[in-house]
Amino acid sequence: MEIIVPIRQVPDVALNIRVNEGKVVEDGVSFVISSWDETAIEGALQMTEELGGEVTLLGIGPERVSEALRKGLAMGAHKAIHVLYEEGQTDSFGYAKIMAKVMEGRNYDLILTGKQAQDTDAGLTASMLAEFLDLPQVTNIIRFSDLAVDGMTLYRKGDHGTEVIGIKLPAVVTVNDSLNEPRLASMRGIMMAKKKPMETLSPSDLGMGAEELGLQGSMTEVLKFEKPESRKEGERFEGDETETVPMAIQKLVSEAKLAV
Amino acid sequence: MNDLSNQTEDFSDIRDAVRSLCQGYPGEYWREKDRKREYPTEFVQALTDSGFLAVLIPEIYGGSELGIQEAAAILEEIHKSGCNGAACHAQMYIMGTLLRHGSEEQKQKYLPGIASGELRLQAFGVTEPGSGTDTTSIRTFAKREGDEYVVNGQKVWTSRAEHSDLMLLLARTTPKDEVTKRTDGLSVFLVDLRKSLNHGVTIRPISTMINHATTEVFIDDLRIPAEQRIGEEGKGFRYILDGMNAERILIGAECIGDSRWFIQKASEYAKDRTVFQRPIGQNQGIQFPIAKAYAQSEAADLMVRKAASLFDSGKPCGKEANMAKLLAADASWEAADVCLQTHGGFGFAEEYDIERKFRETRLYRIAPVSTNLILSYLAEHVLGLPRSF
Repeated sequence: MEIIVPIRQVPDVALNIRVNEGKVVEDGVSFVISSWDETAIEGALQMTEELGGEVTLLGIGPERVSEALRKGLAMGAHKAIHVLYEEGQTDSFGYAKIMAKVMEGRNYDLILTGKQAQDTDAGLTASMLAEFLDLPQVTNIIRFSDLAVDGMTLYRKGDHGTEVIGIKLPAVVTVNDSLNEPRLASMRGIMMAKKKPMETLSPSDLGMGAEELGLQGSMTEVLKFEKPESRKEGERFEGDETETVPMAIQKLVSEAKLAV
Repeated sequence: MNDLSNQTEDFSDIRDAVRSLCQGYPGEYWREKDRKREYPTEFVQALTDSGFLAVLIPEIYGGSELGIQEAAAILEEIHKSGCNGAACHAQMYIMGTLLRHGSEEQKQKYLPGIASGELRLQAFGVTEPGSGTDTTSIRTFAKREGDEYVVNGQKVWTSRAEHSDLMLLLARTTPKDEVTKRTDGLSVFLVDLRKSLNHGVTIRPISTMINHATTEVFIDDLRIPAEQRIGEEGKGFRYILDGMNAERILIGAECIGDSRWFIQKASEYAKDRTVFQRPIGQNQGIQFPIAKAYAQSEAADLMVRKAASLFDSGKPCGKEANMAKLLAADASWEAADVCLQTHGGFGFAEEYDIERKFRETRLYRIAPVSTNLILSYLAEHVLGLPRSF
C-alpha cells in the first residue's frame, strides 16, 4: 500500500507565541509537526506494517520544514517530498492546489492527513485536495479496519456517534487525534532518517507560476492576527469558610452581576 | 586556533525526540519519585528503549557511534524538560573506559548488552571514606592470587550501584609507598555485581537530600577473575582520566539544561504574577537577576560546547572540560536561586517543582568533582601557580 501523508509544520503551541504587527514572531520559536498530522503518520505506518508498502511524507514551506519531514522519517516513514519555498501567506486553497500538483503522475493508494492544522484550525485543505483530485474522502476518523489495498472500513467520529464507512481506494482520509498514540522517534530512527531520500521541489518544478502561489494563489486573506486577551488573575478568599463563602457570593453579585 | 566549526551544530532532531519522550514524564512523576525516593525505572527504560543511552557506543557493538556533543544535547534536553538524567547518565559514559582500554574480547562480551540496556554499567567505585578528591590515596586493594584478584576495601557515594549489573572499580594493586608516581599502581576492574552481590560485595543505600540512589559499597575478600581487569595492571588512573573529561562535559550539559528550565520558569512567572497592579517582572529588581542568570548560562553553554567539540575531535580538553563543569554548575545554581527568589513563597511549594530542581542542581557544585578542585587544577596546571595541597 502506497500512502502519501501531507504534513504541516506549526509553531510549538506549548511555548509562548509572540505576535508583532499582526504576525507570529518566528525568531526563537520552535516548530513541530501539527499533532493531527503526527497521528496520520502513525496511522500510515501501522497500515504499511500490516500490508506492506511505503509511507511518503509531503511538506510545503521554507527550509525549516525539512526538519519536520526528518522527524517523520525518524518515526519510520520511508521517504519525503519537500516543496521548498517561502510561501508567505497561503490559504487552504493555495496549499491544496500545490499538493494536487505534487500528486500528478505519482502512484498512491491513500492520502492520509490530519483533520486540520494546529495553527489555523481551518480543516479545509484535505477536502479541497480531494476535490482537485476527484477522489472520495472521509474526514475525522478514529479507527480503521478490514484493511486491503483496494479499500477499508473507517470509523468517523460525528457529533452524536460514530459512522462506520466503507471506502474504495484511492481516497483522501483525515484523522482525529484519538486514532492512535504516535510513536516516539528512537535514536536508531533518527540515524536512519538522515539516509532516507528527500525529494526537494520548487514551485517552478511543478509548473506553477507566481499567480498560483502565496496570496495571489489564495482565495482568502488573513488581515490581522490577534492574541487572545490574557485572563485577569482570580481573587483568592482565605480563611474560615463561614466568612469567605458569603464574601465570594457578595463579590459575584456586586461585581460579576450574578443573579441569586 | 582550535577547530570549532561544528560548535554551532544543534542536533535539533535529537533534541525534538528527547523532548517528546520527556513530555511523558511531567513534574508529578518526578515529585512522586522524589517523595518515595524511588528510582525512575520507567523513565530510564524509555530512554534505553529509544537508544539514547547508547549514543557513544560504536555501531558494531549496537550503539549509534555518535559523539559527546550529541550525548550532551540529549542530557541538556532532559534537564531543560524538567526531568533528571542523573539516574542513568553514567550508562552513557562509564563504558568509555572499557571501550578505550578494554580488550576486544571484553568489548564483544559486554558492549552489545550495555548498548541494548540488558546490561547496566552505571556505577563507578572510586571515592572512599578516607579519600574524596585525593583519588590516589584510595585504600581499596586488589591482591593478585593466581588467576584472580582478591579485593578488600570500601567505596562511598557510589551512585546507582543498586541499579547496575556491572560496576567499574578502581583499586590499588601496588601500595602507594612502593610506586614512583602516586598515580601509578592503580588498576581498573569490571565487577559483575550480579555474581558478587552478597558474595564479597555489600551495598548500602545512603539517604540524601535528593533522590539520587547513591550508596556505600563494602568489599570483603571479593574474588575477581584477572580477565576482568581492564588494560594493564597499575595504569588504571590514566584510564579513568579521559572518562572524567567526558563526565564533566556531560554534567555541564545537564547544568545548562537545568539553567534553562529555571530561567524559563522564572521568566514566565515574572510575566504572569501581578502585584501592585503590574507584573513583578516589570521591576528591575526581579528582571535583572533573571537576565544576569541567562547571560551566565549562555556563556557557560559556549564553554560546554567548546569542550565537547574538542573531545569529539580527539584533542586535549582537560582545561575546557573542567571549566565547562565549573561555569555550568555555577550558572545552574545561580539560575536556581533566582528562580526561587522570583517565585517567593510559591517556590517552596512542591507542586512548582522548583524546590526539587533547586536541591538537585546544587549537587553539581560538589559532584562529580568539587568546584574547589577545579579551581586548584586551573591554578596549578593552567596558570602555573604553586600546588596548594
